[in-house]
Amino acid sequence: MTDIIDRLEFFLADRGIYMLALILFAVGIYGMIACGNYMKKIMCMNIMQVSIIFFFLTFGQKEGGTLPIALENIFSAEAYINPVPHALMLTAIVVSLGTTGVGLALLMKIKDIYGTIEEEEITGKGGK
Amino acid sequence: MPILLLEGLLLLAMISIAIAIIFGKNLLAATIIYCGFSFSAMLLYTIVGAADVAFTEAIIGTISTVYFIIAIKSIKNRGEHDEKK
Amino acid sequence: MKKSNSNKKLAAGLIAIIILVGASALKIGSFLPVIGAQDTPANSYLSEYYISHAVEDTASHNIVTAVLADYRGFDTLFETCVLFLSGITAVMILSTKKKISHDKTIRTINDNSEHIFSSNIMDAAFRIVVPIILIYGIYVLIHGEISLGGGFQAGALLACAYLLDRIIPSFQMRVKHITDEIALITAGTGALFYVITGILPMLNGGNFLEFNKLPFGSGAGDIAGLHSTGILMIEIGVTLCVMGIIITILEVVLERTDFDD
Repeated sequence: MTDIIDRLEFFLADRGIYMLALILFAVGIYGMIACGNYMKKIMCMNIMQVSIIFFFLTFGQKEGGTLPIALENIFSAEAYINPVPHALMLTAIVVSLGTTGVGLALLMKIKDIYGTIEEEEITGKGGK
Repeated sequence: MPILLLEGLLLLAMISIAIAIIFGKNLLAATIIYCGFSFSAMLLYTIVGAADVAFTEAIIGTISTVYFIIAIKSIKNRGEHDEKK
Repeated sequence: MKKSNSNKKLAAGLIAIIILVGASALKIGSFLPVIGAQDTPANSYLSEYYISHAVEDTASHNIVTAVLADYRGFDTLFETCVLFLSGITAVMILSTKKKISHDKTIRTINDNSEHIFSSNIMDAAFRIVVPIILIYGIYVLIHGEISLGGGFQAGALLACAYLLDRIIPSFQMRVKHITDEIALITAGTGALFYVITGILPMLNGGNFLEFNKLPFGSGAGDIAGLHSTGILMIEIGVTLCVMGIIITILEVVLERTDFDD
């Protein structure tokens, strides 16, 4: 039993986690293309963003490292995980909120002009 | 339980939640499920070790869900106003 | 019929995409580094310097805040500008010449209120929570250098308190109603404060955003203290900007909504 867990763990560390993160990204893109409702397209855009941020954060993991908050008198670089991806992804999350806001503003404008937010009805009407 | 196994299981759960968002029929139900997706993303960031990122994701996730609910309500109200005329 | 057909096509496409991406990720995943190793290219050269020298350079124990606001402060400036730009865009798209006139006055309790949030208990409970969130937000802002926190989290928390108070229809005076113009001006003030923090060292003989030459206090030997002051000023600017943008988008989206429940 522990042998299976060890082999599974090794597979996950080598390329399993990357495979799952990329599958989530692919599901997000497919949802953006194939969903008919415009609001679901915005939600799938946020799903894509979560998967990319997680993929970036896995590059900072270290075995035996702790949170990047400095303890007393321990300054060696092997005791902490890499803080640079955290700093970059922090602003990415807040910018994704701004993008969602702009997307929702566009959605309301589309609803004003066309009267519906289903994609088939809008392209079937051909625009006003 | 070793950490990478936990990450793998949580990622599998997130993929199934994402598939549920795509196939959901009711728009309000999809929004509530999106709130659950944001919560599990926060758990994932905590397990990886990024505590600042998880804190930010928790707050931004709830604000984003509230935006979606307000937008859904505005769209439904618009529809009723048009039908009344 | 049409619905189930399109559902089947959706499901078939999804399964095909998952298998394709999974197989290709397995094949090409061999040149990405193993998770958890100590000697990957991302963990060498620069992040070792950041980890070892963060406390003595900037007197802040939170290494992420030190990287975000001191070592990479220039990137954070432009991220703040991108946030401000998104707020301006949202206002520009949804601004209309004829104002949609709906009732912005305070709702009374006789106002066909059958919704659950107009009961007394929920209102009182939320009214207690709002000042706690405000105090927690300011705590997170000021303690950003010692423990988890920083400017982005504090701005979002302060906006969350306003959002909570704005959505609940209550039967007494609420927090002062902030229009979207005032919120946008607040966001712009935050970004301006950030830029002024960058320009101040230039008046003293340094470069843009060089905290060694800030004109505060006695710069005799306390370089780490100057960096700490600079980080605090940057965080205040970022907090104002994030809070303003979240309130702006909220007001712009709420103006077109008729809350009749």
